[in-house]
Amino acid sequence: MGINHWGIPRHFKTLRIPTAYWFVLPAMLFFTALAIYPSGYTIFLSLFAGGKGTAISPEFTNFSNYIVILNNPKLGPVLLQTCYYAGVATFLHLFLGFLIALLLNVLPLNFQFIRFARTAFLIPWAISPTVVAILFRLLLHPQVGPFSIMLKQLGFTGVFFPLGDPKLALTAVTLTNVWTFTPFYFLMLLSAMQSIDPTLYEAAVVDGANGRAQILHITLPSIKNTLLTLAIFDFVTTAAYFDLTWIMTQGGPINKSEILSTWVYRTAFQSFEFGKASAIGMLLFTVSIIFTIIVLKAIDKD
Amino acid sequence: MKKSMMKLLAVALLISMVLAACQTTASPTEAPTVKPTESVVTAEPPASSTQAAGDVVTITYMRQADNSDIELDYIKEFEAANPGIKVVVDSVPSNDTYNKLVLTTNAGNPPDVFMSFWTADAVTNGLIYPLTEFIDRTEFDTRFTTAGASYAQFQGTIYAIPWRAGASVFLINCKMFEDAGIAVPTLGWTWDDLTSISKKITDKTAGKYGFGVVGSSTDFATEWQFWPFLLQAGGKIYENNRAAFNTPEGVKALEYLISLKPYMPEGFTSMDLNQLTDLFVSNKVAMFQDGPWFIGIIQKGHPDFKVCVAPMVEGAKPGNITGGTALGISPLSKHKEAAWKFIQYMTSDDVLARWNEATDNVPPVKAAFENPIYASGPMSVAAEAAKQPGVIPANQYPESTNLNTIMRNYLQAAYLGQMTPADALAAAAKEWDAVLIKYDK
Amino acid sequence: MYINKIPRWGRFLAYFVISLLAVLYLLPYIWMLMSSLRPESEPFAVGIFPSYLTFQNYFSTIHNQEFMQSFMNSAKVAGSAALLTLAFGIPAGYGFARFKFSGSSAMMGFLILVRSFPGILLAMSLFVIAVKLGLYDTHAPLIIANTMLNLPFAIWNLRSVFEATSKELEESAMVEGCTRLQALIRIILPISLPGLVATFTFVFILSWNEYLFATTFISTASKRLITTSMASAIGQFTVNYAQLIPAAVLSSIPMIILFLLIQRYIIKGLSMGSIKG
Repeated sequence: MGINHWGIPRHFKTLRIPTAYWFVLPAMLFFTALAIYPSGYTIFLSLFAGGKGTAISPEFTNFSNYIVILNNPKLGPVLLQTCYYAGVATFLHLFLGFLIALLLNVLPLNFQFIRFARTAFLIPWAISPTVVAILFRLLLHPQVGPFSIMLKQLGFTGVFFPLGDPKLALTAVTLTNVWTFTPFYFLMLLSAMQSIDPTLYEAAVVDGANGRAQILHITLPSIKNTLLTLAIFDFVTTAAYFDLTWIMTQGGPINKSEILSTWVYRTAFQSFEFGKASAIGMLLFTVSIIFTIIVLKAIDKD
Repeated sequence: MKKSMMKLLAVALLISMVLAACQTTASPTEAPTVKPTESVVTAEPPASSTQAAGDVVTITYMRQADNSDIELDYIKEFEAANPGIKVVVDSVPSNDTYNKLVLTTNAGNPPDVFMSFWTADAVTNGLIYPLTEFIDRTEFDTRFTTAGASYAQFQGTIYAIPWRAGASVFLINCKMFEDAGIAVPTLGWTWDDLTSISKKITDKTAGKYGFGVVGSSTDFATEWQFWPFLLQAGGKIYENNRAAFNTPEGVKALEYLISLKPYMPEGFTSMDLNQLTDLFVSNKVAMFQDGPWFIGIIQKGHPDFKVCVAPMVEGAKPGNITGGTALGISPLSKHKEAAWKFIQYMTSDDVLARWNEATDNVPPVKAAFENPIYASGPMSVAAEAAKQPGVIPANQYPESTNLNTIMRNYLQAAYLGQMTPADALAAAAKEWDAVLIKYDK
Repeated sequence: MYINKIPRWGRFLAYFVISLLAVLYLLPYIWMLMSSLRPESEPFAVGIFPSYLTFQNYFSTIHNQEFMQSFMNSAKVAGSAALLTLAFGIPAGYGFARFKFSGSSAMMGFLILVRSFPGILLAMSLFVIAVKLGLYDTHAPLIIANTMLNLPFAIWNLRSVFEATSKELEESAMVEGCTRLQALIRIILPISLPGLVATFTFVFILSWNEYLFATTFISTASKRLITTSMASAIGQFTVNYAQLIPAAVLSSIPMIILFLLIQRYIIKGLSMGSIKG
């Protein structure tokens, strides 16, 4: 059978492929072709690479990479910190994003004002996260950082050095992440709210529903799927997101902001053990699967 | 069946529309149908990196993007003198040079020549080619200063040619010392002197601190600034492939540093060199220690600021570390001869002398010291620092970045008072040994 | 929620509260703008406010040809990636939204889970592929990699966008003689414009700000992307803020323009609603 260069059989007429696949397949083929190798390779390395770099052991490593990682006393705290980082960030992204979207969606204010307000709330997302990380290092500087200067002026006598403080470092990085990425969730939720049919609200008003009832019975149910989709995406990507943490704290101080993705990086580039790094990557993958399944179950309940 | 025909056409149309939009950028169409092959470190470099036009050999040189662009002039000079070799310059942000070498080597496409400040790591991970066949040992030892020569080697083998090198010095804020009526310390000053000067200058209400230390988890200066004190206390970093700092001397060094905490800016466990420099040039921190390259960095960034230089302090004995950057060749380079020619030119006495003078660095090559600028003033102190007894090259152990990071964590724990110095060093040594055991012969 | 009347004092309060929140939220960005005007060698210890403001840093940045070139390169890569993602994502999102077919949830799950691999591990293999194809040091692998990385979310998001559109509208169009595809293009796409625009923006921004791939896949200075160009100011020992911050501000401008432009589409829904009210 002839195959044209989109990978679609020429004599498709005889195949009678359901219509749905024609829509879905181009994207799936493109994605699979590119994704299957990197993900497969990661799994492969986690099982077969026992030494330096991507060198493959002559024999099966008997899951030794996994065993070493699972026995590492660092694992527990790092898992918890990853869940804290991704969990808190996900919650705040969606919560704040929802609030801002709601605020800027419902009030019958001046058209131009709303337009500028919405743009303003999107701005942090426009700055490259690499730069955000570097700038927040300076913003949170214990001596010259605006935060500590303002705290001092407010009468705070202690030292504010969140990135060097084991109690605050992870939270500082998490909040930086929230600052940077909330606009994205705001935008997504806003566009979801925009596509709600206005007649639904009109009908509710006729029925005498107040604002809260409208949010609970119309807005939230209408954007519920978007919210859950965003929650999955958010958790999965934040857990794997490493740039901010690496530049701001490198997982420190005393490993208190280390997350799985910085650990992967450390193992791959500092210890040069790609097998172990891939095993940690698989662990991250597992955490993400568990979270995704939980949320998908919630979607399916309807 | 017309319907499905329509669908197919539409999908095709959509795709081709977008492809047309990015036609200028090679053809993304190819990607989905590709069957990627296995990657091995010994894979052949693809044609693109080694394209030969006529007899011209093209080599890629990876440098640190923040280095002075004067370097590019020397590269042009080299190309003019060697019409058969073309140099493609890849300026990579400093913090990603090592990653890029790892990723490109893994894909079989590394730069032929690279500027390294992580030679030890590159050696342990097989990313750098030994230069034994290119350079004669005695020539190497006679041409380069001890600081330069020792840092470019690993366990006795020459892997790179020094570009800049030096032993740590104390960078002194001239004005703050003057204001306090303190003379810039000279060779032989001691821990007691360091304490008393720091104490004298510190005035917390005025925001003035006698001594600055880097304690950040993101900065290798954290452990870099600790090692000299360890050596001065009589301790060792590494011996017989094991951590050697977990000794009473080590504890003494760490305890001493912690005793200086009252004279350091608060919250220094979040402070990196960059932030410390900011305080230093704004007359809030009177001194800190780092490599002599910092003289040039400060001069360049703050031309109006006057920096003085003092030699390394002495404890129970003299002790200091050297470091720097050096040029190395990838083991996968297809043009090692050309690469070597390039390194030879870049590290010739003439180029090194010019570059180091232009950038206020201490040259790693002895011949350059004939220049009178190294005979007096701050540069002479910096040049002398490397010649003192007790100076050893830094990072002379496998997985140095990894081990350094471990050390950094425990130094922070001790600085923050979460662990006693003894416990911190013991825990760090335990983690070091767990890594080092892999390298037992 | 549907509010069409609030008292005058409520309006003022709303303007005030929203403005205050926006300013608070933007404080770090305002600080960044201010710092971009700080004289080149002035330390930050001088104070939150620079001793005087100068545009010198901007002049140097704009006159830096390599930087301006990287700006254009990023626009090209991010724009192409966003279009390519939509080209794949729209049919797929529509397919997932409108049809129940076997394997659909498995496919959706597969899409998102690949994103949970740390980028650095994906980069390693994608880099090998790019080199083997001779695409190292071209923009093609960056466009493809950004498309691939952002496609999962684009599809997920477009699915919810299409799910929210009315099926009846489309069906009535098909009764009138439109094919499904015509119905998609003529009926569904226009009404889901806010969602499409949001998705485009999302891919554009993530591709524009992507750093790891951009730095490793390109070696020639003239092909460099803006993130690499900016990171060049972050050195081994110090950061050149006078170079970094103005560059970062300039780099954020296309996004802000994009934000202003997309308002036109997103705000449409609101204005339609208020007219009806």
